[in-house]
Order: sequence, then C-alpha cells, then structure tokens
Amino acid sequence: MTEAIIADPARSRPKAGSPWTTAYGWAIPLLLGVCVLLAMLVSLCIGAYPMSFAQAARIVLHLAWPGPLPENPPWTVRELVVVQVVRLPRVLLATLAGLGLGISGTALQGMMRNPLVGPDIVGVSSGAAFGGVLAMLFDFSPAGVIALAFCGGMLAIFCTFTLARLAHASSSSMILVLSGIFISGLFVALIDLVKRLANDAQFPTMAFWLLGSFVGADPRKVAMIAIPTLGGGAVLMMMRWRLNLLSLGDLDAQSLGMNAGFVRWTILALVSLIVASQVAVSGVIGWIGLVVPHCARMLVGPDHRRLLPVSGLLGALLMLALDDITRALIRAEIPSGVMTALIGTPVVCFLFWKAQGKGWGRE
Amino acid sequence: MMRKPIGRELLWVVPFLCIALIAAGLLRHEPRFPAPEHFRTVVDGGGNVIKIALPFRGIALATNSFPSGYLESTRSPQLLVFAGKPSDRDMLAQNAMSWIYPEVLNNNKLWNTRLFRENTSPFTEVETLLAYDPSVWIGCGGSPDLVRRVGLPAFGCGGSPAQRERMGLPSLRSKEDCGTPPDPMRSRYPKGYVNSGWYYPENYLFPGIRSSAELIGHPEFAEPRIDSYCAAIAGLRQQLQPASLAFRPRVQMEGESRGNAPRAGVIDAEVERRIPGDDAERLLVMDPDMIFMVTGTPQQFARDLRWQGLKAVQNHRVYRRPGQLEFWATGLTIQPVIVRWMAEVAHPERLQPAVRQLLRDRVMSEFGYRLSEEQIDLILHVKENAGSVGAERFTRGYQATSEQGSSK
Repeated sequence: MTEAIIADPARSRPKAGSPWTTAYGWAIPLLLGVCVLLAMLVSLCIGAYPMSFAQAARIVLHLAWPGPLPENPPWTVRELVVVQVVRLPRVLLATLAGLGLGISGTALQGMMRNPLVGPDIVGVSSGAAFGGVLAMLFDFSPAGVIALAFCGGMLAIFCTFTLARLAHASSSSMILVLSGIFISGLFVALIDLVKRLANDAQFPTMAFWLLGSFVGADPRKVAMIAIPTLGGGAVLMMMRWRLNLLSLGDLDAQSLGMNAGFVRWTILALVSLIVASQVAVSGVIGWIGLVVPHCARMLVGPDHRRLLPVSGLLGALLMLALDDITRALIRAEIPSGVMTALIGTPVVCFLFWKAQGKGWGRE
Repeated sequence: MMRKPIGRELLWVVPFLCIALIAAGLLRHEPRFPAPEHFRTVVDGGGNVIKIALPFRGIALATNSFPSGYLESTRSPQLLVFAGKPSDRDMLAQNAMSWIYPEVLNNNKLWNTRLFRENTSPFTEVETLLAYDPSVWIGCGGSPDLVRRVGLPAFGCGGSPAQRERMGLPSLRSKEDCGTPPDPMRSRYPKGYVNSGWYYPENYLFPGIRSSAELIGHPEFAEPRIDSYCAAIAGLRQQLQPASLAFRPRVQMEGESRGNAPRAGVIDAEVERRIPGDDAERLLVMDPDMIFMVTGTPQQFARDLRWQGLKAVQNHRVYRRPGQLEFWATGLTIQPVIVRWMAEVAHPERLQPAVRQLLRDRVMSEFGYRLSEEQIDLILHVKENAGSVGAERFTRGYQATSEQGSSK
C-alpha cells in the first residue's frame, strides 16, 4: 500500500508541498533550467586564466548560435581557447552526467516503486563499468567502450530482474534491491578480475577511470554522452505520464490499458543507455542517481511530470557544483565519484533530518 | 475544471535545447593561435617544428617536466617564467640544482601558487600556462599534444630522434656509443629485457642535451658537454681495462644493468640468472656478491631477516650508490661519477680513489659551482655507507691521503 501511495500523484498532490509549490510548481523546472545555465556560465569563469562572466557568456552565445563566428570578435584567441577547448567540454560533461544520473535514478525509483533504488544499487553502473574495463582490456575504440558499457549495463539489469523473478518476487522492492546488490557484487568482482588481467599501461587508466572523473573532457566525449543523455532523457520525459501509471503497480497500469512490460523494458533500456554513456566517458559516479531524486521529491513531490525534469536539472546543478568545488576550492583533481560520496552522504542525511521523511512517509 | 496549458508541461525542453545547442557549439573548428610575426624555428627530439615568438617571453614548464632536468640541460634559469607546481618545487628543493640555482627555488613568481596549483589535468594545465604567456612550453606529460593542437609552441621532452632524421634534419645521436665497451652479457639478456629505470642511455641523453641547447638558442653549448661526458667514461675505461678483468662480481643493481654494469666491470646478477618478476625470492636465488641500492640504507637492508643469509650482507658488501634522481635529473653530470663509483667499489685494486674529485670537477666544469665537502658527502651517501667494505675510500680524509699516492 505504501508503495502505491509513494508515487501516486493523484493521492499525493495535496501533500506534495507547500501551497506555493502546488500553485507554481510548474515554474520550478524553468527556474532550475535557468540556474543550470547560469551555473554553467559561472563554471566557465572559474580557472587559472582570468575570465569575466560577460566574456564567457558572449563566447558561449556565439558558439551556440548557428552560423559562423564574427570575423572581428570581441574576444582574444586565448580566451576562446580557454572557453572552447579547456573549460566548456568539462562543464558540459559534468552537466550532462548529472542530468543523466538524476533522470535515471528517478525513473528507476518510480518504475520499481522503491526509494532505495539507483543506477548503482540495481547493478547498472557496475555492469556498465565492467563492460567499459573489458573494452579497455581489449583496447577497443571509445565507441566500443560505450557499446560494451551499454551491453554491460543491460546485462546487469536483466540479471537483477531475472534473479528477482527466480525468487518469484519480481514486484517486491526488497527482493529487487537485494538482487541488485548481488548482481552488483558479481560485476564488481568481474571488474577486479579484469583489472588483474590488465597490463601495466592499462591498469592505471582503468583504476582512475573507475573512480569517476571529468579530467580529459573533449568534444568527442561530450558527443558520446550528449546524444544518449539528451535523446534518451527526452524520450523518458515524454514517458513520464506512463511512469506515473507504472508506479501504481503493474496490475493497475494494465487495467488502465498500458503495456506495463513493454514500458518497463523501454525505460530500463533508456536508463542503461544513459548510465552506460555516463560511465563510458567519466567512470562510475555514485550517489547522484540515488540522492538527487529524494531532493527533487522534497521540492516538487512525487508526480513524475515535474519530478523527472527537476531531478535531471538538480542532478546537473549538483554535479556541476561538485566539479567546481573539486577544481576550484580543493584545488586538486579528486575524482568526482569520491566527491559525490563524500559530500552527497552528509547532504542527504541533513535533508532527511530536516524533511522528516517528507515525500516518502505519507501514511 | 482547471485548464492546464500544455506549454508548462514542455518547459523541460528549454534547458535540454540550450544544453544541446551549447554542446553543438563544440563541433566548430577548434581555435588556433596564429603563427607569430617574428619567430625562430627549433625542432625537438620528436621532430616537432616549433616556432618560438620573438622577442622572447620565456619558457614555461608543463607537468612532469622536472625543473631540475631543465636547469641541468639548459643551465638557463633566467629564461624561465614558470617552473611548475608546489610539488615540483619540493622536488627541486631536494635536488643539487637547488644549490646551484637557488634563485629559481626562491622566486615565488616562478611557481604556481594560484588556483589549481596541484591540478595535473593537461586541459587545466594549459589554461595555467596560458595565464603565464611564455614564448615556448616544455612538456613531458600529456599537455604538449593539446598545446600543439591549438597552435602553440610546445617543446617535447625526449621523443624519437629517428623522426627528426626522417625529416632530413641533422642527427642528434652522434657519439652515443662513446666510452661504451662491448657488453659481454648482452647476448644473454632475456627477450624484451628492460631494466633501465635509473639509467639514462646516451641515445636518450645526447639528443636531449642537443635539442635543449637549440631551444635556448645556443646549439654550440651541447658538444663540449657531451665530449666532457665521453672523456670521463673513456678515462675510466682506460684505467679499469674491463676487457682484461679476471673476475667480475655479480651485482644486484636496481635499474642500472644495461649501460653501466659492463663499464664498471661488474655483472648484473639479474641478467645472469634470467629471473623475471619482482618476488623477494628472486634476490635470494641470485645471492649477488654486491648490492647497490638506490633507496634506503645498507643498515636497514641488513636488519631485514630475509636478507641476512645473503652473501653480500654477510660480507658487508651492500651499498647505497650515488643518487641520480634525487640529486640530478638528466644524468649528464652524475652518470660518469656513478660508473666510477661502482668500478671503484668492485675493483679497488685497479683504480685510485678519484670519485670525490671527479664529482667536484664535473660540477665545476658544467655549472661553475664548487660543491662543499658536506654536499659531496650527501651525494655519495658517505654516512649511509659507513659500515660497508671499501666505502672509506669515498670519505674526505681518505681522499686526502690517496691523492698523495698512498692508501690507508
């Protein structure tokens, strides 16, 4: 019963938040969208080379605007190099990774009707990471890394569901989480095995990649994550009404005329694609997919029509902020995967304490 | 009934579209710096043509470019505008170059104390270097490719001299066999055997010195230094006569086997036994006559229960050899001293003690700097080797008597 209430927008709407949220909740994604864009511009100003906000905004605007760049631009080549070659790829990579993880975590939690689920809990991240290191072991091209990471992610989630089904409890949240933990453990062991087989040149690359980092961002990596994340994310956004129905439970969803199995597997495939692309370009970054949906739920309630975009944008904002902290405040390249865990855990503890379980504890 | 505008449900499209458009902006051609109006051209060891802007605005060192290596190669501290991160500075502080060029170590302007000071990402590093605006970068890590990609002058460390030769440029590798005797063990090296971690072979060392001399605009500086190096090696060879040695001790010498072992009249025990891997048991199987360490002290080594049965430990023939990485970077100055030190330890009957004088002379001729007795003691690890057989010949007092032609 609790699970049905959790994601039932009709029942939960009156309790979704303050009257302000109910009246103007639609504006939150827009506000967050503006915040993300501003945060991207601010991130472009952080670095050893001095860069004003106005100059960064001017350059980005010209880069994004279709058509050739001005012949006598109001910026120097040096400034253009700093923005286009050095900072923008990294900022975009962090934004897209956060966006993808936020959307994926929310979609998984809604679909499985379980607040404990995240891409790293159900095994998608470990499966994708296994595919990635396997591709590195055999010196695959970057496209090969993303393809194998995707296959690994799909395989892991298939195994998780199959294991839950073998226990005759495929709809039980607890069994699904347990299955995910088992499968995740298996893939972590396989990753260690691949690392053991790697040669001296491959091993450090694998180890650093697995920690999760945006170091070495370039346009190719941005393309590798942007297409699956924005494309897959857009399809998920269009399915968010169905996600609301799915969160009622399979029987209810089917009684409303929805092919629950098809929708479920479509969502899983999209989530795997998004997570695999994120893992392929920046390694395993945990916590965002688990923590961000909870924060978003506190903001806009459990209705996926708002929750999904807010989760994505909040994830992007958080990832960008963490990357900026890593680069600017700590002044060292601490892997983002480490930072998300170090900062994400206290933040979610604080939020849980302040929110007293709002968003989930509704009985 | 409340009407819900469909536009509100599509608001998520706006940030998606904005991010997609910004990402699409990266598909544009990368910007490139125009070639400077006035420049001089240098080709590095890897065959990269570098246009150095004039008037000269200085040299910046990228990550892993060892300020000590730059100073030893170029002897031009005045050309530096950026020397590296605080960790590079710490490394220089432990190096002999900080005695010779203290102005580099003490000049805060040369060291990055700003944001990202410990950042090792090539991308972030490039932006740091752009902020310093030099005429040329020296890069041994990942950044030279990125710097070159945007049309900036990046001088690579090392590289493949063969590439340069393919371009029809003069070879940088001449004299690379100077002073090298035929290696009696060479045919017995296992296939793919590499054990040169602390040894800079001449085919790496000489191109580096020559291209560095070209970089600073004084190509004529290179040959006298190379000749002096070769003369030191050849002088030892003449005195030692390694071909006529009746006995060559088997030595465990970390990272020193390929070039220096035959010159010093010793045999690398590792090669002889052909034992791969890094297991502790390997050393027990080898049971060398002598051990030349590059880290730790002979006392620490001898205290380890595992090694107490070794012949070298029982005979007090474990030594800490003069350091290369800790005191020098390129090997041009110290390598002849190291070879002489090894040869004197292994064959004291053939060689007069001259290591201290050789070290003093080489530093004086290379840098015009007179090493103090304490500094020489540090470099030769006199204190650490105090209990080892024959190490007294490297002490100050022994040198004084030996120079008069007598022994203790």
